[in-house]
Amino acid sequence: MVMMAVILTLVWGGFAVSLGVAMIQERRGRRPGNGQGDGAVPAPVRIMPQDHEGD
Amino acid sequence: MAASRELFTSRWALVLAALGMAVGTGNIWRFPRVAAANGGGAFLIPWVAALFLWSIPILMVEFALGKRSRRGPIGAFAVMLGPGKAWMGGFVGICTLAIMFYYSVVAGWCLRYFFLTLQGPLAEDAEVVWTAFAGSGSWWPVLFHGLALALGLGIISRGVVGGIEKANRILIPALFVLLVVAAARAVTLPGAGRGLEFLFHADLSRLSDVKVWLEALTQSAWSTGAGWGLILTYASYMRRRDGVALNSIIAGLGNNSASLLAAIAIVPTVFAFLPGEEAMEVMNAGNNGLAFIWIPRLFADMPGGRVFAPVFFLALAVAALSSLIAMLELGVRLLMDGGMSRRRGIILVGLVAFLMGIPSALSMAVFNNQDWVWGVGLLISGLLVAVAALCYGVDRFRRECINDSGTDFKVGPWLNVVLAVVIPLEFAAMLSWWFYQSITSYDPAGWWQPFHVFSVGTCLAQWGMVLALLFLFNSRLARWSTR
Repeated sequence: MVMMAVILTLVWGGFAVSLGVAMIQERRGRRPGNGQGDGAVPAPVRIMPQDHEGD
Repeated sequence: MAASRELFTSRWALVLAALGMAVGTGNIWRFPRVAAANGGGAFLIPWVAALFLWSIPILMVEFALGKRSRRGPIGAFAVMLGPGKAWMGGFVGICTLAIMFYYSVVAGWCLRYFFLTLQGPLAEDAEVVWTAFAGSGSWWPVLFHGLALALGLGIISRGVVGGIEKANRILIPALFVLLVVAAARAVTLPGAGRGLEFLFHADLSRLSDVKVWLEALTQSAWSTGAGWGLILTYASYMRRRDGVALNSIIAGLGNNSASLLAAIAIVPTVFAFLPGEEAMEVMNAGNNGLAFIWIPRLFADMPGGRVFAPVFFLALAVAALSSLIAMLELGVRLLMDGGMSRRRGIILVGLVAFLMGIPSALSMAVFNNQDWVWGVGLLISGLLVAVAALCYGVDRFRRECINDSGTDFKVGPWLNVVLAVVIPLEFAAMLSWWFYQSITSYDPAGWWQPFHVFSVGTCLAQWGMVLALLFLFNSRLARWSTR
């Protein structure tokens, strides 16, 4: 039953803690550098016009 | 086009959708029996390790690819890595769609059994009912396959916020409540302690058995949804302010929490009603045998089983449906990336999925073959996702895409080592292990045959055909998915 306690603490406890951290982060509001609009889409990273040629 | 798309309205909506994607039937019917067959408590150690050494790193890469590219798998690979890599996203997408074709059949089975158990206990008839129902050529599974697809398509037709988000807000809390109810009932049965003891007893000598590690790694790889391209698809709808790292950890740990709940619901139930040897036989009866033959029998004998049998099958159906929604959305997203409207995409995906699922609904041989080929294929998908980070530059990917502006915490360079070294080694070990099983155990006489159900040949033939087509049309795919 030691193993049961260890595994349940690790998995269920870890899940609960990660949810808790996420909740705290949400309540604190924006983290540094979060000025972007939600819908903003970053520019495509490596796609170049010439990549579309020569199919 | 992409800038005006719908986004999840909150972090919780994204988390619930991610959990809905990850928690599927595999958590409920595969994890408990694989854990029981591989040493119980000893199995749980490598299973938790695999979460951090395979699943969560791959989920992080998927989250980052989707969030950054705002596209489905093909477009994400093409945009992030260059058009020459569109085929990699294509393999990830096709592998998951191939699974979706038979997974909706499974969702249909669960729905059918929910309705059956509502009418009364199946008891001794369970085996007869199952063999007359699934893969026997009966059209009932086709009907329920269609019903499951219709439910899933109906949900995604309402869009990301009105459909996927709203459905998961109901389905996932309901699933966890149903699992807690089933687990609470199981542990209060007389004799349930034997099952718990079996499940959590740690015979640490089993850790020297390579098979236990490989089974644990495979279970984690299949169960968390890492490498399926599903989180990538959902992440294309996440807000920029939402981080990658913590959400990946929540999805992974939430998935494993559901697996443990399911194991606590099932293993003690089996051990409470059957003597040790027979209980082990049941746990080795395969996914379908355990869920659709033995569980209905055990519930029929259980006080209150009349109520708990539908609870179990409703949980199974909810788990299946929440994962099916994600798979359908992946298909529709791929078409929308090419410029198709959601409505047209839904009609096309629904039609193709229904037709392609019919053979698996009618024949268990086809079902088993597809499960084998694309289940093992998922390991390749997982590797390709990790390779995406390597192609981008693994450290650059970690700094720019994972530790981006919205992150809750910075992921350290350990992730570079896991993505560049550990995951490729794990992949090689798992693929070799499953092929070794085919050659030595599943089909020693015909392992190279392309038309055998569990052969290496059938995997290579089907993957080869898909890869050949993807290479052939790579440029077109890249152009089409990045419009």
